[in-house]
Amino acid sequence: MTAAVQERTTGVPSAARQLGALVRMELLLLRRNMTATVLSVVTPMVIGVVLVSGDYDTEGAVARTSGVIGMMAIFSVHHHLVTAYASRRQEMVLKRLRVGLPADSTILVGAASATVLVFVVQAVALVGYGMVVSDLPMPVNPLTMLVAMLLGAAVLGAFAAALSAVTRSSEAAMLTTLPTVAIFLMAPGVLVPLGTMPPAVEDAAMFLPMGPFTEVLRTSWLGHELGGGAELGFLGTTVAALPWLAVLVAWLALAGWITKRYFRWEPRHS
Amino acid sequence: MTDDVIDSVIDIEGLRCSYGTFEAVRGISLRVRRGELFALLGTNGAGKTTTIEVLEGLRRASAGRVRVLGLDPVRDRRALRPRTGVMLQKGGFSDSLTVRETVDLWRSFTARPRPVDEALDLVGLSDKLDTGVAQLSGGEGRRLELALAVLGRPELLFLDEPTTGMDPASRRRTWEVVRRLQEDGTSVLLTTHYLEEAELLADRVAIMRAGELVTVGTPDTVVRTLPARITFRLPAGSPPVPRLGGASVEVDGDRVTYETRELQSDLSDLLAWANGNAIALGDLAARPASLEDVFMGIATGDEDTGDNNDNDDERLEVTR
Repeated sequence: MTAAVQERTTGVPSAARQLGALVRMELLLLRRNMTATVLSVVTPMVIGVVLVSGDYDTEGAVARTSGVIGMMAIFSVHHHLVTAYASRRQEMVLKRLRVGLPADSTILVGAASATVLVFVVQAVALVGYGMVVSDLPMPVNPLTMLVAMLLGAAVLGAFAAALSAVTRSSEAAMLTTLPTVAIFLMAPGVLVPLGTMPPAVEDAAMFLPMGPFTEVLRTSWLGHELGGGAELGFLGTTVAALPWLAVLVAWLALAGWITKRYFRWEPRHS
Repeated sequence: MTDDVIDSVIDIEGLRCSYGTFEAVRGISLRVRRGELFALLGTNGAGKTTTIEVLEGLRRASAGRVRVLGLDPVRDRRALRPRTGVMLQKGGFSDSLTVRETVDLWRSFTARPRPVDEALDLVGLSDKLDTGVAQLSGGEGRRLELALAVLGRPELLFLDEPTTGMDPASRRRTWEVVRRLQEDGTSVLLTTHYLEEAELLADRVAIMRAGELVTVGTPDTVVRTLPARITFRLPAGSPPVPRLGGASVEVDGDRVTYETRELQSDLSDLLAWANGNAIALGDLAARPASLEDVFMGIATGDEDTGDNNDNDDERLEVTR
C-alpha cells in the first residue's frame, strides 16, 4: 500500500459512527412521520393491554404478559421489518447506501434499529403496566429480560431480512410472512399457554425462537421457574438464562447466514 | 505491480456476467487510465449498467478479471469505497429528509468529507438547503446525487447516466462540475444516452452492443471511421449528378447523398458542377460524421452505415 493510499483510508468513519448515523436517521424519520409512529406504538400497546387483562394469579399474569410481549415482537419486529426491507429495496435506499462506505451488516442493522427500539419501549411499558395496574412483582433480573428482548428481536429481524429476499413488495409481505409468523407463534408460551401441548411436542417446540424468548422473560421476571421451584435470585436467573440465550444466538447465526446468502439489495430486473 | 497497472484506474479482462441463462456481458476487456474521462455508450440492454455495477462491486463477474484502482471490487470493497464515488441512475433518498439532512447523513459515511455548503455550492443547490428531498425537481435531485458522489473527493467517479432527466441548464452545470473534477485529477467512468455529452466530455469512448465492445477510441478516431456526408435535393430536369473523387453516391428519387472522406474538395467540385450547370441544389447540407452516426450504425446492428440515410428522424434521445 502506497503512502497516498494509506492517507486516503485514514479518516474513514468507524463502523460504530456509521451505524450511529443510520440510527439517528431512522429516529428522525420516526419523528417526521409522527402519526404513523404513534399508531405503530400505541395500537399494539392497546391490544397488548387487552390481552394481558383477565383473572390471573401472579404466575399466570407474568406468563401471559411474556407471551404477549412475544406476540408484539412477532408483529412489530418481524412482520414490520419484512415490509420495511422490501419497500426500501424498491425505493433503492438499500442500493444507495451500499455504494457508500457502510458494510452490508451495518445497513441492515441500521434499518432495523428504530423498529427494535419501538418494540423494546412497548415491552418495557407492558411490564410497567403489569407492575402498576396488576400488582405484579418487580422483575428479579431485568438485565437478562432485556438481553432476551434484544436477542429475540435480532432473530426476528434477521429472519425478516432473509424473508424479504422472496418478498417482491411491501404488499407481498402479507403473504410471505404467513408461514414464519405461524411458526413463531407456535412456540409454547406465546399464543398457546405452557403445559397445553403434549409434553414431547412442547419440549421440542421450546427450541423455536420464541420458546427461549418467553422462557427467559418468565423466569427472569419471577425469579423461579413456572410452577414453583427454588428462588434463583439475580445470579441464578442469569445462569438459567444462558442456555436459552445460546439457542437464540444459534437462531441468529442461521438467519444471518441465510440473509448473507440470499438477501436482495435491489429490485429484480424486469 | 508494474507501472502499467498503477497507471490504470480500471482494468477489465474478459469480463462476463450472466443473469440465469442470459449473458448480459460477453467477454469485454478495457482499461481506463488515471485522469481519463471514459464514456461507455450503448442502447438499453447493451450491458453498460451491468458492467458499471461489477466495477462498483455490487455484482460478481461470472468470469474474467476486474481490477479497480488495483483492487478487487467485491473482495476489497472496504478498502475501495473511500476512494470511489458513485452516482446511481435513480432514487435512494428518504423523501421526508431535507437536502441538508441527506448531505449530513452521507457525510457520516465519508472519509474527510467536503463541508455541506461546499458540496451544495459545487452543484448549485445552496438555496435548497432546507428543502425536502421530495420537493426537488428531477434535475435538482440528480444534482444532489452528484453532490453526494463527490462528497469525499474520490479518485475515481462512476456516473451512470448523470444528466438523464435534467433540463439544459442543469445539464450544462453538471458538465462544468465534471470538467472541474477532471482537472483536479479525478478519473471518471461515465455512461450516457446523450452522445453530445460523450463527444464533449470524454477523452475516450467505448460503444457496447449486446454485451460486447464494438468500438473503443477517442471520439475523433471513432468518428473518423465513417465518411462525411453531402445531401441535397436535385431539381427535376437536371443532368445526372457527377462522380466526385472517391465519394460514393446514392440517389433516391430527387434525394442525393454522397459519402466522402474528402469533404472539402468533393464539396467544391460539386458546387462548381452545380454553378456551371446553373442548378440550384435544394436543402444542401454537408457535415462530417458524428458520434451519433457511429452509434446509430452500431445500435441498429449495421456497422456499414452507408444504408442508413433516413435515420435522422429517429435518433436516440439526442440533444441539440
